[in-house]
Amino acid sequence: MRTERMKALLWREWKLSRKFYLSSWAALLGMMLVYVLFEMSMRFGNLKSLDTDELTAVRTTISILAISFAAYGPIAAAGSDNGMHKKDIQANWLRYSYALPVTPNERAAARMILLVMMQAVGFLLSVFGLAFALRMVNWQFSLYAVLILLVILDISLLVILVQYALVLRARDMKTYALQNTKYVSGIIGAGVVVGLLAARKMSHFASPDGTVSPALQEAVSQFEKKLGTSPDSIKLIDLVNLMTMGHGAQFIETAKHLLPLTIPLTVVLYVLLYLVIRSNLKGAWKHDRSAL
Amino acid sequence: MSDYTNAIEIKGVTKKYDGFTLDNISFDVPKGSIMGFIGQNGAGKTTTIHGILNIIPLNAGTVSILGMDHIKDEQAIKERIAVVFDEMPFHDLFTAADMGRIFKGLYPRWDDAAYQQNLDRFQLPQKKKIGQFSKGMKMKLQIACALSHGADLLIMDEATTGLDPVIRNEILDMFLEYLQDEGHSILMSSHITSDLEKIADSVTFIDRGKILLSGYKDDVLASHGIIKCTKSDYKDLDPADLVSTRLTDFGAEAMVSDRAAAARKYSGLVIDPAALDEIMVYYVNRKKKEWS
Repeated sequence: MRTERMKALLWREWKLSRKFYLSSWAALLGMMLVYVLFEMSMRFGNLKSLDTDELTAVRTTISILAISFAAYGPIAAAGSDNGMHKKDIQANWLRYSYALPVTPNERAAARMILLVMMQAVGFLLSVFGLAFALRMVNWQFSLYAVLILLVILDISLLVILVQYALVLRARDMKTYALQNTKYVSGIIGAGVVVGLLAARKMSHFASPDGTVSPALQEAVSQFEKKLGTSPDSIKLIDLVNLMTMGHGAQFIETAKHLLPLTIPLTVVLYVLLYLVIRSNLKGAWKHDRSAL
Repeated sequence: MSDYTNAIEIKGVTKKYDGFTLDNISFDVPKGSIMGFIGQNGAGKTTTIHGILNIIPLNAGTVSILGMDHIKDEQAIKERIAVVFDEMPFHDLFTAADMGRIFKGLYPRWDDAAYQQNLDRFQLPQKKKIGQFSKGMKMKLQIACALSHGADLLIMDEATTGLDPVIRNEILDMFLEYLQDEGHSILMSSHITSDLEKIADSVTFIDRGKILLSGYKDDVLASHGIIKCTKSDYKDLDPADLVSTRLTDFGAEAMVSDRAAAARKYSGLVIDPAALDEIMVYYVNRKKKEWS
């Protein structure tokens, strides 16, 4: 019976969230279609006449788009559950669900399973999108690219964790609006702090007299040289070198050591997420009577 | 587990909110009967029902449903009861067929054939989205779901409020049919006393968080009466005999809670039988003693 209940809960949650989720992925598939058309046109149609520079520009544009979608994969499921909780409050289902023979653990598990499944599918599609993006610019696909996606997934899980901790405790629209405002303000605040820290880091690009630092000048000149002579041979390391002012190799070495840590971190975040969902959905109505 | 005499037993239930207290309430719903739970808006009917269902934690008191403890045996209880709230709890994008699919997974005793029969009886379409249903259709769907999983107890919170008399009658007939099974019981909260007068076996009257009356409907109706007299006759009445008095331009209408005793004591005065809504109004105004 427990399995039947879980199936029913999962089916319900999926039916409610699938529109948002699938439409976002339809956009990615649309982009893949653009790529196919582009390839065909390049071989048989008008794009056949493009010169190398033009082709590189088009390929890079499509690649950047694909990377954006690949990065979207791990976070695709993030918005859907928050929206679902709101829908449950608006439709009065939330209160009704407490009169059903469903345990708090089942309620939390159903939500969690759906989230994990949606994220897993998103993640696979992202890996596919990333491989495609790298192929567009003739870069080799590596396992570290997957780990980078895992970093994005972890950041997304952290955001969801904060979101759930605040929003899932709402039992009425008034509390929901208040909690959602706290969440959005918190995320914006965190974004501002990260932005300020990045800006502070960026200031190292300039010398004290206001001119561009010699290290950056050297990195830019190296990159421009390669771009001018053989743009097809530009690799990830060249971009990283440019962004780290020539310390690309060191940066990649450090990242290689840190990236595998994302795997246990992901597991820990999922466990925390389950606990947050369970504790928030378990709690009965503790708010004032107007919520009833 | 089926060895119980009262479908619901509430003893000393207390729930405190800021500005409102459900104050030490106790009443029973006998097995095989329908109890009307009467009170004006804000009297504490919904809070009591939420307490029974463990949707809100209680400050004190015990609740037994179908012979089981409402917290310890919550899961088992919820498999055997059905709840109908005043507001439609199903999402607009679902259909009646979708709801059947969900409930089939949630309730071990879900009966597809009974559900189909209930939908046919209420002329509810299987495939139409609930968002396109009228208010009456939505309520009928909620009731169709409630009556399709072999529930031994129906708990309804203002289920007939806002429905037109034709639909209300249809629903009340269905409840009477449901009660043909001696093991079935209903707790029906409403402020539409005419519905309860029609079908209830017993009534419990709550006001400002306190139970004022609880007993068999016929006994309550038989014991209460309204003395209709002139203002000068009214002055001769003993205030201790009266619940409250409505003063009109033509005289006074005073309610007594012991009609037989009042008839003996005031033999020269006319004592009319009282309807449930009149009893409710006179009790609500009991603190004022006189009102117009």
